[in-house]
This record gives sequence, structure tokens and C-alpha cells, in this order.
Amino acid sequence: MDTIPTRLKVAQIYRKPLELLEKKLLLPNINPGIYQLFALIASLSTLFASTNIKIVLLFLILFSDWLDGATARRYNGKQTKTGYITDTTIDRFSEGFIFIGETIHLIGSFFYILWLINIALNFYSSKTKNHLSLPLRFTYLVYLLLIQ
Amino acid sequence: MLGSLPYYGIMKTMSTPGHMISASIISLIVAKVSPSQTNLVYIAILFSGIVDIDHVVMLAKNRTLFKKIGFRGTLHHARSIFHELAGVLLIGIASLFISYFTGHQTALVIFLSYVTHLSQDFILGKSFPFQPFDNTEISLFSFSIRNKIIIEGIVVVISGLAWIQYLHA
Repeated sequence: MDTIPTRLKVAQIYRKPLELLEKKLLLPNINPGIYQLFALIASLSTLFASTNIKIVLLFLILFSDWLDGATARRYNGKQTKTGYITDTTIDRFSEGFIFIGETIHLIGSFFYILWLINIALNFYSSKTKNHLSLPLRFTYLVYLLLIQ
Repeated sequence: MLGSLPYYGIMKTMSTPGHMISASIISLIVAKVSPSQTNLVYIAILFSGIVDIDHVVMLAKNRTLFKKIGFRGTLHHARSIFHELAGVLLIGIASLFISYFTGHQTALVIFLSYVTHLSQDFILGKSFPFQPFDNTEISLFSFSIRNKIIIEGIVVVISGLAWIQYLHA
């Protein structure tokens, strides 16, 4: 696989407005890995957190995920294969840390099983060059906001 | 110079004792395991280091290759799929069963010890996350061996202090 798996057309619905917003953003020229490291630590922190804190942490994790992609696109030019693999791997680690703590209840177990499927989808994407991934952290954030 | 010492020359990620001290205390604190639950404490220490067995196996299996390329900064080639995302998937499935049959806390300790080890390796060293489907080498940060030793030293000291605090709680 020398090319990056292409995203589904449906992803353009949210990616286009984000790209427009991204151009107006003030971004420091730092290693995007710093945002990813923050996302990992924040994901681990959700295991201690109350629901309200979890909502804040999930928002910050998703925001840092966006910032790391935006920084890479602005300062490294086009997306690279290594960047794609690094990003998706960090996302899976982050989801794992978030959802293992939630297996204590039914909805959490459901998200945890979807996370396992998401890892398998990563392997599928690398073979087929079609990016397939479930937006689990975003969906879980929406779920937490709804039950509040 | 630290980098010229043979042991540190091999080390491209954290050492196994470093993982065992740090990943285990993270999992014990997060899973709210009390020091009196000795079985879980042993499980945490075991699963924080167990994945490094594959280095020994892979070094023995590929000894001809390692004779050729040497050991300095090449240990990431002595990783099996258990050290990559496939390993996370397998421990994830195992934890699900452990959670249902043994208990949530045990599953949490096993999962966190193992996955924290892999994430430490991913952050500090080189890895091949999509193996066996793709062999692209990934390095999140380009730390020199000297900087890795300093980071490991800091992590071990902080973890050691956390262990003292944990055992006295």
C-alpha cells in the first residue's frame, strides 16, 4: 500500500466545512505528535472522570485530533501514508482507553465491540485502499450529551 | 556516552523493567486495585512486560538477519504482531471474555497493562502498526537514544514514587 486509503464521499459532508475553517486557523508549526500524545493522555484520563468531565475530555480529544491533521496538512503539504497510519493507530489506542472503562454497562460494551470492529476495519482499509472507520468517539460524545 | 553502551545501543524503545514499573502502576491506579489484592498486582506486573517475550523469540528466529544488521537501534525489527495493532485487537477480545467470566476489574488491569506497554512503545520507538497487512514503519517522535534514556529515567523515577505512594496508601 503506497497510497492513502480514500475516504467515503459521505465524509465530505463534515470534512468540507472543517477544511474551510482550518484555513482561517492560527496553527503553530509543531510536531503533530504532540496533539496525539495529548489525545492519548486525555483518553486515559476518561477512566477516572465523571460524565461531565468525560464530555469535556472527549471534546478536547476530538479537537486535538482535528488539530493534528490540520497541522500536518498545512506544514507537511499533502497527507502521507505514515501520517495516515500514525493517525489511525493513535485513534484506536485512544478509543480503546475510553471504551474499556465503559464495558461495565451495556451501551459501553456495545461501543467497545464496535471499537474492536474498528481495528479490523483499519486492516481492511489498508488492504482495499478505501478508508472505513466508525466515528465512535464523536458518537459517544453525542450519546453522553443526550443522556445528560 | 550513554548511547555507546551496548545495552542502550540495543534499546530503541523502553526497556522491559521500565514498562513493568510504569505500565503496571498506571493500570493498578486506574483500575482502583488495592495493594491487598495481590493477585491483581502480580497480573498487572506480568501483563506489563509479557509482550516483550516476542523480542527474544524473534531475535532467536532471525539471528542471521541480526548478525548482519547488528543490534544497535534494530530491536523494533524483533517485534511480532502481538506488539502491534493486531495485538491490541487480540487482547481487546480476550479482555471482553475476561470481563464477562472473571470480572471487570481483572479485564481492566490486563487490558491497561498490555495496551499501555504498546502505546509507550508506539510513542517512544519505531513500530509497524498495520502488520501483518502493511509493513510501513512509523515513528511518532524522532527521539535520539540519549533522549529516550532520559525519558525512561524520568518515567521510572515517577513510577517508582507512585509505587511507594501506592503501597503505603
